[in-house]
Amino acid sequence: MPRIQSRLYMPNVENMSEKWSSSLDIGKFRKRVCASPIKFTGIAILVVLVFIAITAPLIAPHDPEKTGIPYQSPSADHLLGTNDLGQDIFSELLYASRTSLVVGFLAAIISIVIGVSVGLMAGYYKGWIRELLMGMTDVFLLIPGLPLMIILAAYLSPSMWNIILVIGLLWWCSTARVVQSRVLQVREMQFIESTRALGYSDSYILHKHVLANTKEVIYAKFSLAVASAMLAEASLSFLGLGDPLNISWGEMIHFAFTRGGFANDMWWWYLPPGLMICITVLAFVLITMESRKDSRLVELI
Amino acid sequence: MSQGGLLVVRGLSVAFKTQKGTVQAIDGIDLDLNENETLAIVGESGCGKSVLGHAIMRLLDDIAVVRGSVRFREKEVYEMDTTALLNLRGGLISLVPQSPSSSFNPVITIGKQIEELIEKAGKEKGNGARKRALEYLSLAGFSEPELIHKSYPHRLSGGMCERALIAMALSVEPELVIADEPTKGLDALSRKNILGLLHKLAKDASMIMITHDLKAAETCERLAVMYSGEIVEEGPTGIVLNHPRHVYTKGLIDAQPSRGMTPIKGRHNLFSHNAEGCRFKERCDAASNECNNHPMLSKVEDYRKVRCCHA
Amino acid sequence: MLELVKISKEFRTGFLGRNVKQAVIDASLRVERGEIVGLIGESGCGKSTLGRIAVKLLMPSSGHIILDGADVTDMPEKQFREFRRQMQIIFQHPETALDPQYTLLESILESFNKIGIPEAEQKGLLENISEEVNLPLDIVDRHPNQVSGGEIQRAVLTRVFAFEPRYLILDEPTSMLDVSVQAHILQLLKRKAKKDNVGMLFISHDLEVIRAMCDRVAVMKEGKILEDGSAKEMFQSPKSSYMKQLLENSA
Repeated sequence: MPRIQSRLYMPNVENMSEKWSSSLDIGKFRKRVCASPIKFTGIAILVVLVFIAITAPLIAPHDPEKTGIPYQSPSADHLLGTNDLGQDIFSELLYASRTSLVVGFLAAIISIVIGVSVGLMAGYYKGWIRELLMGMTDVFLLIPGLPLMIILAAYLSPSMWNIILVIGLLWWCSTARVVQSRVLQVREMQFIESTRALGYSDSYILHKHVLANTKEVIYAKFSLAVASAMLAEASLSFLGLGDPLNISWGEMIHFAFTRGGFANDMWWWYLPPGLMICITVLAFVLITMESRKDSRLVELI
Repeated sequence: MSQGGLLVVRGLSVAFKTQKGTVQAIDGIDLDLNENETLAIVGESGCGKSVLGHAIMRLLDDIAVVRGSVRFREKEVYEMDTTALLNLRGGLISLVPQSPSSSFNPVITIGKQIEELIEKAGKEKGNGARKRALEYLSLAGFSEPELIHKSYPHRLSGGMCERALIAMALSVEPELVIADEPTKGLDALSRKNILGLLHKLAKDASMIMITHDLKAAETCERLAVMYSGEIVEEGPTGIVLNHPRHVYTKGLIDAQPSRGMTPIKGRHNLFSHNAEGCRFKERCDAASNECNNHPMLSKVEDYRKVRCCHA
Repeated sequence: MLELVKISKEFRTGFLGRNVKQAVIDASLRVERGEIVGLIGESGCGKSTLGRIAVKLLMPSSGHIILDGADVTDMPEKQFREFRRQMQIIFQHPETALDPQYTLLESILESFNKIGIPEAEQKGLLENISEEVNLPLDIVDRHPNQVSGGEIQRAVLTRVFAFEPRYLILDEPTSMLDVSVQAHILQLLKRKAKKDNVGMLFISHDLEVIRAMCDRVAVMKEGKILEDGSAKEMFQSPKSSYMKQLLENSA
């Protein structure tokens, strides 16, 4: 809906403009943080991670490609020591956040776009369209995901883009299911029918009303999709199917495993990337947590 | 009304803390109910009538601040321990909740749910519970109680669900039934059936019927009208409806389609309890300076109380 | 005149539509402009289905919908849009009548934009209609869950009245509202019908409301229209035994 109300005379137009300008207000911000501290913890962690990924070349103490003395223990110069080629593991860790996050986000975007389109169509239209789309979703749900991904990734050339595609194209089914059931719920509400009676087309209603009422589900699903895409990427990379040119956290663990990190008990090599994966996934899970609303109260009164 | 009645409510207040401020849902309610008496509590949405029903059974959760006392058979409900409280609910006091279709668990058959309650209340066990469930279903007017017994709730229409709920609530032979909006959304025929059924099954019990429907209220012996968390008029139903003394009661009666559909002016405000004086004065034509003092619910005739300084 | 001629509607459910349910059978009804026609019946009798068919939210299985002489039954959607403005429908449940994502104002503007009212005139129109329907302007920036059912129905009326409809289908518009609010809205609808010459089909199970509102009444049972006639006749000397039964029960 066009946001024209601020131009329109309204008795409490001041209130409205206040609402817009106050999004930067510190007090309001604090209030929102207090309303859902868990969510904001997640967002804060994510902001830090994205900042690290963007500024990796600036904050990394060394060039991760540069070789030196191998198998060093952590020191002031090499915070997490060096690997078998004498490359700085800390710098590699910072750089790897780029690959991991890019794979996570892009794969999640692909899976969400497919899942939401399928779910919307299957939920809104009746008849053979729904049968076809949901049948397809069920087939995809039945395919064991990880083994298929391993096979595909092994046959395709090991590049980051192939991994993104493989994950994105295989991970949309649960999104489609969730979106479809929400849409089924929304389409039974009377405002859908009354908007149709006003003469609006299906595509307008789908976009402005059905999608708008599904967006919470989609946001939540998106965060979880990023998290699971990162985990899938880590699994593939750990098995050695990752992109050797774009090192990710999963691949760091893979190298630590194959090149003697585990054997030599160099925890500073394999533990940090694992922890980074956990923290990132945790951040996304925290974001999806909803603060408790007192909607029941309204009902009671 | 004697102090030794079945239910004695004194100074009952419930407040909800919300982001916009405290909402005093009900405020200083006094109520007496004798054995075998039926009382209708009438009011419009937001007047606190449902909250009152829940407060009597101590069903409000912890966001509600409750003050005052509710005594059932001389025992203070708000001082009971958990066992006594569980005994009270669904044993001595039964609630027929609002929204019949969502009040049953959708994945358990109707019969199972009724039996569960009967066993919990310690009335019957096993086969006896099943027999009693079937008996009450047929009392509730189902010609094929066996069929309803093994049905899942979604197979039943709104009116049928309401009847099954009533059968369930009454199957434990409670001493007090609280029926929350039993006729909401039902058509004329089902409404008449439901009201008849409630009174038939609850003939040995006392009943509080919470409703917005004056027609339903007519079937009860006594009537209390609520506005903005307070009782504004109380007395024998026939007398109150035929000779209302409070302007709001009069307004409600005249707003009925059969009585000319005269709207009450103004609108109800959730925060009107914050205003000084009579809570209805903004909407009242007879309002005068006197109305700036908060009126008391005072006896105007025998067995009849009104909260209005002009009554 | 809005005319429904021999409308039937069947719903098919189950595998390959094996189960057929006849919701409406051969129902004929007409609504003149400026007249309020009551449609009465128990829940599940098909009256809401018939109301939805009248505005083509559902397609009839057979029969014709004739709007001011034009048969709109099989008219393609694009061509029908012009007619759609002339007949609007209002539903029963205020809690889902408006999209919870948008404020009352945004939902109202949705209809203004559909009509193509220029922005400069929107303010004036809103003021006019909101005065007519008694919608307080200080609540229009709230979301539906922050206002009462009566206020939502008023916003819905604002949205619909902007179209200046010739015919209105009212599907139990007040059965979920309090009596005093119901009185407000019914009075307002009655005034509107006479003032702007709007034909209304008033669907309800409440005999008292129908008696107070309608000029003509039709009774429906199990998908069939049993009887229709002037309200006075129907309430004083009903022919069908079903209407008699309804009258007895509401007394």
